[in-house]
Amino acid sequence: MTDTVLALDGIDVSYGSTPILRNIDLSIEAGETVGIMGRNGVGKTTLMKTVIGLLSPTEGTVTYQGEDVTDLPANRRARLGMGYIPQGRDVFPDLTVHQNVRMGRSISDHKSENLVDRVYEYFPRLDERRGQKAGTVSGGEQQMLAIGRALAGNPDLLLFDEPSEGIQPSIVQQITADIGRMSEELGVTVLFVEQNLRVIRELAERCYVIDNGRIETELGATDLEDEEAVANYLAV
Amino acid sequence: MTALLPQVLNLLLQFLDSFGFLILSAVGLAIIFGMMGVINLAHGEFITVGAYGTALSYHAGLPLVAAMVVGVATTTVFGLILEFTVVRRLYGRLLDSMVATWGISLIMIQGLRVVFGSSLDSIGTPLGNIQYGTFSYSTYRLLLAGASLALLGALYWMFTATEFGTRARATIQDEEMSRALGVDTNRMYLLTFGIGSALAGLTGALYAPTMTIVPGMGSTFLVEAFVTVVVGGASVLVGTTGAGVLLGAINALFSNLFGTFAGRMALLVTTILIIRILPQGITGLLNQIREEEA
Amino acid sequence: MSFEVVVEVVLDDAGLDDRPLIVGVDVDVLFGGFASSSREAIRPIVDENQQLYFYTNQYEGGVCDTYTWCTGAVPEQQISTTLEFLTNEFGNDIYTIAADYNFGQITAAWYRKIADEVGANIMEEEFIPLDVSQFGSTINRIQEADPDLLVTLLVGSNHASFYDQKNAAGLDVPMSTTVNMAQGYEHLRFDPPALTDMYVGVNYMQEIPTDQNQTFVDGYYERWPDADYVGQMAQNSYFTTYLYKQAVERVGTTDQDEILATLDEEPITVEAPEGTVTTDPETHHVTHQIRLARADENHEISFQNQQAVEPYWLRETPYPGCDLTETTGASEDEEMTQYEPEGV
Ligand SMILES: Nc1ncnc2c1ncn2[C@@H]1O[C@H](COP(=O)(O)OP(=O)(O)O)[C@@H](O)[C@H]1O
Ligand SMILES: [Mg+2]
Repeated sequence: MTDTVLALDGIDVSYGSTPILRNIDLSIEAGETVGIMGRNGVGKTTLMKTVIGLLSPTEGTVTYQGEDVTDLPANRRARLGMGYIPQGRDVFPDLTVHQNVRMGRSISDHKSENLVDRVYEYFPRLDERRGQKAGTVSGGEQQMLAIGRALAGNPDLLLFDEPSEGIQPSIVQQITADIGRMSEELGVTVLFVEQNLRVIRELAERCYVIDNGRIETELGATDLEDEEAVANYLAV
Repeated sequence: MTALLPQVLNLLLQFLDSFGFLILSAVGLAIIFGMMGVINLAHGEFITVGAYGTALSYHAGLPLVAAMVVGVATTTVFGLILEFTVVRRLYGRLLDSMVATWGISLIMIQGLRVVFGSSLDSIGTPLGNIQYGTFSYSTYRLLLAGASLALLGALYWMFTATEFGTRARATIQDEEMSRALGVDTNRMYLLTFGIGSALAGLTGALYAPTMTIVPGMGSTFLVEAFVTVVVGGASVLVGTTGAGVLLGAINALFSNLFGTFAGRMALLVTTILIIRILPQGITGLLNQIREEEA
Repeated sequence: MSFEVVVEVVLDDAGLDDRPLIVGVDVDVLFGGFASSSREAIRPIVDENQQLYFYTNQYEGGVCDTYTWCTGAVPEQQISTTLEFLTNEFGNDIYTIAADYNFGQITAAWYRKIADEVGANIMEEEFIPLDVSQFGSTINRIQEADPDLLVTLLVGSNHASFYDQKNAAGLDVPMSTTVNMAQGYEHLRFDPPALTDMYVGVNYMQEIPTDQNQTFVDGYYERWPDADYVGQMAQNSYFTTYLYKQAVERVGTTDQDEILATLDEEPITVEAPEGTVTTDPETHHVTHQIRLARADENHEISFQNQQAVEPYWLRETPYPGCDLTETTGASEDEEMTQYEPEGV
């Protein structure tokens, strides 16, 4: 038996009267790491916000761990175990690093154990900066913090929106490795949006390609091995 | 000179008096404004509710402190009901919120008049006075200044050291992200409005023994509250406290030297100047300094 | 001959534009107006329509108007005898705090003028905006000046907080005023000892201990059992009605020209609850029985120094020099104005 963690069924999303996403179907099994790729402005962030519940679809359903969560607000979905790492990181600038991490603890109401200590094992640099205001640490550290904050609540599903964007390459490598480790060690399911070819190829077991507000193609493990073909999808 | 010490004491006491009044008037308004971007023009009437709750239960036979607790509780419940029914729809809509809460304020003033008449029996200031030189000062009023300091301390603790405070600040800084991390921001707003109402109620309860208790008594607090929030800016703790110190000192100095009228003028002129020079108030100034350092 | 006086409440909440009231209804006489602002809105219309008008409240004084009679007490009546008495009793140094608007400014000027006349000294005057309710610095400054007498011309509920705050601060000084007690019965509304040692020159308070007054007060409460207090306005309106009745009886008609003429010809005297009241044709005011009322620490009222006091200031020459008997009866050539004491 396979456990479907997340399924979108015929999802349409619009901003006002402007349709952005049309008829999106996708599903992710427990423990999978799935990528979403596509050019700028095709609606990847919109899709992630629809998954976490910051946007409501005009059509279709969002099913999470077998439960229809379409009408639940973001805070309720988070408490069911979704950890969201937004594009641009969105750490709370005036809270300390530690307070930011602790903010994540309300994710996964159903699990008594939080992973605050684990966060600092994954990201020793955050440990050094615990007492510092989050707005004053570097971009890479903010990305680690955004990830750590989501991880602290012991989520079942992590949603990354372009984790490599605007971060220097050495740190991208490290963060990519960290995400891989988390998925492996914690068994957490991962859905991530990415435009960085290396990150996609390193993390994704399969990948959806979005264009024009629709799912254009789904790439399996073998498709992803063909570097040039994947690069083509990003260049379109 | 023998007369100098009492004069200095005078100034100090007046500063404390003015500071206390500014802080206690403003703090409920400031919290609601800072968190939700809503200006509650019925803030003065919330204070009135606190004073009425206190006076009515005091005259019903409760000891003063217990009566004050009733006053605060009444205002809190009142505020929560209002948030749930009206204010909730107005978050982030500054002008709409002002019109709506102004209407609420008018209804409350007339409502209190219809139900309780043109005034309530006064309570009378407890605790006597302290003497120094040829002067004397109400002990209770000193206590009010102390209460304002204690309140600021308590708020500082609440915002920086408690789970609720962290969540409240997170919500102020990034509402969407807070929701995505499981914070029920609607509930946060309800609670914050409740706290703001409780603080208004506390102000009414504390000043009830020093004032004539009439339906329109809230207006005397509203000017001070606005001036303080405008000068302080959006940051509840730093801004409001800074404004309290600045305006309290100016008011005390000018009132002491030239009389109440001059004190009041100085207060308003300072406010106008601050708006001209620092549109974001003291909060803005501090942010600027911080950015320059970074 | 006797007349039944039919009193009709034409409009009991007169707005500021009362034109339709007298123009449409054609009344014989108009009573009314509470605040000075409404009286000053009424007078031009009264003058234009040549309507006899009685204004019965205490006010800041100075109205000299051929169609208008003011039967309440005015400052020179309330202040002159009382200030003399109080400075003899307590000393000559006076500190004034007054509401910062028209009424406070004018009444403070009256205290200045009469202090001058009785040889007292106004040490300092402080005008207080109406929205002020915190008096810490004012109390301090009074303590520093250490006056013998504190003149309080405070108005409204914000200002009413002064008394409690003064007592809480331990400021202990006799107070003189023209506004409190006789009208707003603050001695009953405020809890003692807020008004301890407050002195006010009054022409009427319900506590005046005469049989004549007792009869009036009993009758009043029999008619209106729920009334809170019988104030000066009630008494003034009561005796003014009798003044008018006498005038009507004297000329045998309610014709306004004849009434206005007889009022100017010869003074009319009535026995009011306050005592003997006599009209003053020159100024269209009345001579009142002025008593100095004092509230003690339990807000019990006592009276002393009763004197009949004429409305003497308005007819002083050269200023203001009001004389409305130059023409007997009303005349377009006579004055329709309000004077202020010099130096407001
Ligand atoms: N708040 C918004 N209101 C209106 N249009 C928006 C809003 N946010 C994004 N869009 C538009 O929706 C489209 C998809 O945006 P987004 O999901 O952010 O794309 P991506 O993440 O793939 O770059 C873009 O055309 C963008 O301009
Ligand atoms: Mg995006």
